Amino acid sequence: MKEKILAKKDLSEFINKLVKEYDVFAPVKKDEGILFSKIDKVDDMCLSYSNTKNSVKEFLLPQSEALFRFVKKENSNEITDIKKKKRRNLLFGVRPCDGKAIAMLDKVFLENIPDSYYKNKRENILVIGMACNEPDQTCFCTSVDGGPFSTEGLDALFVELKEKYLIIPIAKQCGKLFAHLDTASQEDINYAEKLKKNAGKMLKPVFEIEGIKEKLDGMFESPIWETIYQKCTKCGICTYLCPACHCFDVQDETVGEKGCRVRNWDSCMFPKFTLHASGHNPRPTQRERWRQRIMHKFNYLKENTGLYGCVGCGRCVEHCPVNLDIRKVLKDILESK
Amino acid sequence: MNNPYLPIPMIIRSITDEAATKDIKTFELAFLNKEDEKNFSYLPGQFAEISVLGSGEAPVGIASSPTERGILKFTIKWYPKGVVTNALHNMFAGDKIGIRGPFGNSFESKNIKNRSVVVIGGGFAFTTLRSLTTYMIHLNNRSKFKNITVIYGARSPGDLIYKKELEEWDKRDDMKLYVTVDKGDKDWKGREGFVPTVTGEVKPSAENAVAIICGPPIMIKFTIPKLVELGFSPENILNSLEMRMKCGIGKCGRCNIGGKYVCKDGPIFSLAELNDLPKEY
Amino acid sequence: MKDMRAKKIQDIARKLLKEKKVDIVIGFEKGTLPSSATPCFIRNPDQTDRLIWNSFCGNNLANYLPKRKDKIGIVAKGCDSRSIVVLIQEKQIKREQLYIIGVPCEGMINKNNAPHDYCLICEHKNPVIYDVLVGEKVKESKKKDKYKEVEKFEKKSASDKWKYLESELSKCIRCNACRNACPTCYCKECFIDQEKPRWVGTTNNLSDIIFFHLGRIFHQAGRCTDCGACVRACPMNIDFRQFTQKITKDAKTLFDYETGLDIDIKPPFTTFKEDDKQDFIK
Repeated sequence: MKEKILAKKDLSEFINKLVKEYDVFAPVKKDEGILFSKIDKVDDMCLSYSNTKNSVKEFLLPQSEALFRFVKKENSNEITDIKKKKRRNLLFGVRPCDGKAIAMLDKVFLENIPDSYYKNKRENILVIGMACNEPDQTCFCTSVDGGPFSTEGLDALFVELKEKYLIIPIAKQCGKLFAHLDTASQEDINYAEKLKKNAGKMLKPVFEIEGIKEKLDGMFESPIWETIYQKCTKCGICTYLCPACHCFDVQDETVGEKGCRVRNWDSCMFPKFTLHASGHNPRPTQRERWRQRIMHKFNYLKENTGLYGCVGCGRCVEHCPVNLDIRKVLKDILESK
Repeated sequence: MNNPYLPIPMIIRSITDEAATKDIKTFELAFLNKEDEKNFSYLPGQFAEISVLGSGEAPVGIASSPTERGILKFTIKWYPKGVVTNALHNMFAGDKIGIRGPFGNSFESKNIKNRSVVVIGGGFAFTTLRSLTTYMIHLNNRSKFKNITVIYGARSPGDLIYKKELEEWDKRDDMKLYVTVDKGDKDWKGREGFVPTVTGEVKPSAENAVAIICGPPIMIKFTIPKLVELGFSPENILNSLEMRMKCGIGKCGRCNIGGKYVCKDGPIFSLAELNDLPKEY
Repeated sequence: MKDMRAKKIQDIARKLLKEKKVDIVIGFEKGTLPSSATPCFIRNPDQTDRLIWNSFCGNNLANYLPKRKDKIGIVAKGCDSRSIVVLIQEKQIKREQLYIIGVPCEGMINKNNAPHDYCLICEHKNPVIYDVLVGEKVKESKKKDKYKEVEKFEKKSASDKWKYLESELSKCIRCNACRNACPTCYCKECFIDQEKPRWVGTTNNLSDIIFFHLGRIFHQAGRCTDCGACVRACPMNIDFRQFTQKITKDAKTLFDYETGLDIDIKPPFTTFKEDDKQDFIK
């Protein structure tokens, strides 16, 4: 599929057409910050953003999701599976880091026994990315095998040129979205390449990630874990804002005889995450829990999926209330003996 | 497409007290749909998530053997803080619950066929070992295994579970059974001694043999050196692990030991595999 | 002036650790982001030159005290010191374990270089409890309009209040940062984590969110020092202070109590006096 061009003045018409066919979610300015929210028209959107506060994982793995409903009756229990949504979702303006996280989540949720809820959402969503011409100072995607113009996990990538967007279609089903648009000229493509190079230059590598999995293999009992966790307040900001974190809890909610089984986001930072009913907890203090966070993202996930569990979006760096900076943690680990 | 989170409807056929303390019960379940029964094919060592609507789920090793057709047995201990175990212990025969599974790997996946099997269990942890023993001594399977030795101990005679099975196994000549208690009572005529000590006395042969231990950590800690002394290598000592679980299928991220999920890559691990994993269990 | 205070804190910390008067010093060091400081934990006297003092030292370090068993040197501003008083009153830490390095505070600023709202109405810039004071005391002043926002809120109708509550709290993502940043939220098992019985789920359903926040804020009555840790921690910019200020105002008007000023005064929720107001019992 060839690269296409969409003039900025035509964006409104393009989006308005999409809104008719899909439920469109894009960056929207709110009190809390810029969040991925539903839009009805192009004016709802805010495209002057480095990244949204929330990641797009909530469209594949919602924060709270009913698995099934039930009614407890005298002679039987009735279980009703949740109806799958008919209308397709379209995410517009997804940064390449969030796209890369989707690629990793696909490996976790679709391989082996597929998660039917994730699968249904994944098959009914289009993910349109927006390349980063000006990465933020907390971004570090290039340090974790990513890039500001990466297309992993995305169905198409928009690049903001001067008065127009260059569109790189990736997935086949995107073909018909852009079929009516003009093909990009070589000049447009070259300019996009230039923007990509500039963006790459703005992202100074924070550390050399090659070999971190092997380094961590031998570090389970390292003294480095004794100090890393100390200022952590054990909240879930890093986990909940992270586009790659995906651990969840399952709870039953009932009113009388009716109820539903729901799954909610959970965090390995929370003390009760691995607490057995017997009272035994294999991760009794934040030391073990922080070790788990780093090991999971840079050792276990790399081994099991081939991808890191961190995409360098910088949300945790920006929002941690005590400035527990994962970039510093990784630097310390890589520099340790 | 199959939804792995939907429980299979089951009915409780009977509930039996296993211990004098009345906090360990065996639940015998039957499938409500014949189709589900046909599709539920499992091997000893695997577990299922027991689902109680309104309370949640708990992962429990399957205590019945696949040779016991038409039913599934789960032996469940009551824990003061356990939401699901509390709900189960307040149920009666005829109540409906659900299960999801079978999940996990089996003892057979760890190369136990055509070898001698030494089963060592302690206290309440004997559940999947009951499944394995019943399976191995069955008419259709006995020839697939060489010598079968079972060593089972508990704190006191009242803590021994599966008393009926133990009586039956004692009468058999195609397996050796050694039952012991840490401390007997005035009616106890059997052996007294800790499981590790008894293992040392029984001296099961390590030749072409595999040892499977399930029990409290302290029992495992002292029995493993005895087995090593007898010549069992770490690849031939198997353990069944437990973890807090939710999804049971390797998605929710909570039951991992290193890069392995106890629900998906376990719960059966050899000592050699555990030595390669971090000590986080 | 600020540089000298940082040096003084470093010297005090070094001496404390060298003389083994404390096992650990909890203070601030330079953050990894521009305009930031971050809590630091120092056990080695040679590391004390990491300690700094500037207008970004907003975190309430008293948060790290509950249930510790060691001897701690702790840097404390006015609001932090009042939280320390509360923790001592509630037996979460012993006075003898602490060497409080008090620092009079002129207010802290946020990422946008503006002073925090709670610093603008602060009436306790000087630490109320300390073992050493770093720098000169600053002038205190009574803020007559300190409850201006709360009074505006109080005048709203019940349905308007509820609408505001819903719109503000619907931003919540249940990350628990507000609870975990608060020094007086230290329950071994928080009511939202209990499973037997489960009072409230961990969903992002509005009723669960409201139950959590109302429950938590009521638990702060007579215990909140308006240090702002909760609003500073919240990633979604929720303004809890509308509610916490109301609770604090009630503690003052109903029981004439101001949080954390004196270890020896018993907090209102641990005492019963016969002349306690009862007009709310209808």
